[in-house]
Amino acid sequence: METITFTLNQNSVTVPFGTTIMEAADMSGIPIPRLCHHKSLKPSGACRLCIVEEMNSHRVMAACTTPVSQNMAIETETRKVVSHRRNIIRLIMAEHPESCLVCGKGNRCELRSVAAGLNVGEINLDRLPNYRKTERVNPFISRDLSKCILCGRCIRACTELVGAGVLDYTGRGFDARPATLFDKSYIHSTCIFCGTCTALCPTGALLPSPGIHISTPEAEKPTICGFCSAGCSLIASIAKSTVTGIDPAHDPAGINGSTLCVRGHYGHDYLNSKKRLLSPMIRKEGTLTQVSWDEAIGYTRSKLDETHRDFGPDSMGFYGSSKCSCEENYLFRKLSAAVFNTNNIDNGSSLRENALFTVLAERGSPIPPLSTLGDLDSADTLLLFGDGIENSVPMIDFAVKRALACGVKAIHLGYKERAYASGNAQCHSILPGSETELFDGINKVVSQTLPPHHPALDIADAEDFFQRIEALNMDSLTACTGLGPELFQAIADSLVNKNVYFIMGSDFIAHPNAESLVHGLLDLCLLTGGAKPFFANCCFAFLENNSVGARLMGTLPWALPGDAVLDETGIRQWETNWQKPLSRHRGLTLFEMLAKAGKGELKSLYIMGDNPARSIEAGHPLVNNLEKIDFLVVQDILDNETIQFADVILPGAAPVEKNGSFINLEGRLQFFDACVPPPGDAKPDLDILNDILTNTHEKAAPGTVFKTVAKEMQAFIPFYKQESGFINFQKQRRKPPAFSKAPLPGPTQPAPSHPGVVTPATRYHLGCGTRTSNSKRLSSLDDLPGFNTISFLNDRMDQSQDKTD
Amino acid sequence: MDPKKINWNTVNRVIEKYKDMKWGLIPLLQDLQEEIGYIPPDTIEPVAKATKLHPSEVQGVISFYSGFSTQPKGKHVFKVCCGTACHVKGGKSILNHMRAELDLNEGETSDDYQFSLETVACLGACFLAPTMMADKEYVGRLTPQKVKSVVKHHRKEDT
Repeated sequence: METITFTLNQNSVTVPFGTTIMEAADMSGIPIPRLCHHKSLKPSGACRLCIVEEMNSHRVMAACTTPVSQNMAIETETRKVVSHRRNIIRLIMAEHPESCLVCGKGNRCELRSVAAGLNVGEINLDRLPNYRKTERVNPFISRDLSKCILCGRCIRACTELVGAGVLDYTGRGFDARPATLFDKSYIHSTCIFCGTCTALCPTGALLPSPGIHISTPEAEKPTICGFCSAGCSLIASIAKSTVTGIDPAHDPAGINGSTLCVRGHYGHDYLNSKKRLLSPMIRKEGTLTQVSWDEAIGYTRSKLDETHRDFGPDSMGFYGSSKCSCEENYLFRKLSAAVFNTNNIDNGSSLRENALFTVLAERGSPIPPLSTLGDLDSADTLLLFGDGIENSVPMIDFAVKRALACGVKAIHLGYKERAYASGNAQCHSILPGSETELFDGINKVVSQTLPPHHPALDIADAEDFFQRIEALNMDSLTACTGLGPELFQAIADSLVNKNVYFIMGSDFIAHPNAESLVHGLLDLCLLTGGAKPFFANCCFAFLENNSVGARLMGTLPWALPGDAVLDETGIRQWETNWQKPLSRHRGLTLFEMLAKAGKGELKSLYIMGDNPARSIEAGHPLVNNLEKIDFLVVQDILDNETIQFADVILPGAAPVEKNGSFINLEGRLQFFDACVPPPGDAKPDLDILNDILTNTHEKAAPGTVFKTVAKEMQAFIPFYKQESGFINFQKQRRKPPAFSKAPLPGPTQPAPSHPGVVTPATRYHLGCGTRTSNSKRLSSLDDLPGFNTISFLNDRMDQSQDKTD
Repeated sequence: MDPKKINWNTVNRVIEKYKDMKWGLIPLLQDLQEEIGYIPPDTIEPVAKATKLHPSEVQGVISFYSGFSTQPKGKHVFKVCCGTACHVKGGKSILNHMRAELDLNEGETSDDYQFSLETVACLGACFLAPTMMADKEYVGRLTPQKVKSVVKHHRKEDT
């Protein structure tokens, strides 16, 4: 790589070509003050505080925007430079309100720290107040533009990082300010309240709406977000052992960098909800009564043992959680398999993602090895399936919009036309019910478009697959989907011999025909990518933080930890590991367990970190079967709908209150440490499980159980390493790539007659909303648009109407 | 004539002309203002969509240049120069005469959308000071008498 040598404060420094003076100074540990510059954003050179002097020409230049050139002699602290900087700060402060005492930014204010660093106290200038109204009409962001210093970070964050473009400078001179279209308040603009602007604002102009604590937090600790499957890196602000605020970690290696979504940023106030479970309880004579941990653990274990002895392992059920950590799901699986000898185990993700995980396992890969969302920038084409990705996993949507800004082409196939503000994006709406035919159609046209000797032609079962796809009638496929043949051809032309990423939304993943949709997508991957990247370039919008981890830790009726399945190899491996005989037959899913409960044959059910009474759906006949279970254990963090059926309640801990790890949708294993202790008598879930597993109830020091379990897992599970990082799923694959063998169903004719489609993912709530509905901020917007979206058929292609329910 | 009513055919024609042009936003807005007399706020979103920009960015450009207006203007626009040379030659009193003659303050438009009165920093015609622009024409060496006759002339033109 070409390098450049120059002098920085009289030291010779060599940096790569294109490095800016500021980057070189940062690398050499030389401080340069700045206000408009942020490492997550492109340099803009607005504030001029980072000016430095070039000693050969005595020119003053902005360090953030000036690339280093050969033989430059840069001085960062000359009298001239310092005097200019002091004047800039004095002028900014002349317009800035002196309200530091009551400002929520507290000691984190960058203006204050830069002023202090330049020794500016009294400014000795006439004040030029620029008072504006404080906007506090939404529950998330409070905006006081009199504190705005016009650095433009919020504007650049909104456009560059989030791709929303809600803000831009409006007016000029003294009247200039960052404003939304028509200067509306955030809540009446297109703002999605991701809060990225707030996280980047150097002053108190943009702040999270006042919560339980104002001003500087006592401590800031890193953690991982526990809402959706993106697994964003967070910094939790802590005061008096409670989490008072959340900010993005600004980690360039993290999936989110400086961005977050409304749930991650503002939804964590559920941690301080009054509905948190604070002490263990046992139902005595019909009412739940507070008991000691000793009693709760002893009672639970003895009742489970009793059920096992009297009714056998098949009468027991376990329900793990895609919200709980890998370690918890591992220990939960061990409890069910090694102690109670049953495979009647399931987890919350299988309500939506069962078909996806089954098909992936069938085709030999645990999850598609997408390297990172950042790779979308280098693609030629992105092909998106399904609606509501911007709500279910907002990080995917941000990454798509950033890729669009890099000139990547995006084709979005869903029910409702979605407007992408910028870039080369096309949206096409398909007729609801024709999703399978959509994949068949694309696969057929792509296979006809493949050039001779394409690597896809050498993949196993190719001949058979091509024959079957050949037999499909294109006319009925186009009639069924509502997409014209030229459109299919245009899509195929954007895929063949191109670097393509496929993104499947949560509505397609949870589709009733999801199995054939996933087969269709994986076949399309093979057709366009050849055999080499094994389903690489596929991204699935899993709904919950640890859907992937729960699957890999085997809390499914057909799986065992470490991506093993219930075949002879898997069973033998874990019999050796655990030194216990294991059950050899496939267990029951949640629905099968509940059906069994209806017959009175399921005697016990242990639910960890999930709320099936709400997530299945209100009024579903199976929900009432929970009542027919003799012994129902609920281990959770919030008072929820399932608790009314519980015989024992074990209060667990939320992600920020315990140690553990999640695996995100990219296959990134991410460890996190406890930031605050669990509230009341609640305990980390892993400690509770360990107590029940070992039938002891000694109080362990925080984190010791985690260390023991993690050590055990490291010994048994090759991909579970000690440090956070990507799991190499290429290594994990068990089968060579092959086309699907499932018979392709002929297109249904005529087009299915659904009146419309409900897109259930909402911006403010996640999954069934047990946690988000306990967030004061998120639930205060319940009556606003952005909830379940119904797209009606006759509106498609031209104008889509949103109806809120 | 209702100046608030937008002729969308005109708008669409202008948008169509510039939508694929590189750096086409400012010429588009200039054309739009020329055709309609101002840039109706309702056109910001269609313009943004056509130029593949965010609506907030389009608004930012419009609000930055004083030459663009999102308010309907009168049929005749008078721009009185407030530059140094005109100031020395009594530009301020010319402005006062204009105010009285039109019964408008600077920045205002008459209720019948006949006249708008504006001030500009300098018209670059200092040798004609004190000066103003009546629509696209320079009117120089202004006197109270001349102000009256210019306004009268434009009133007459319409009747």
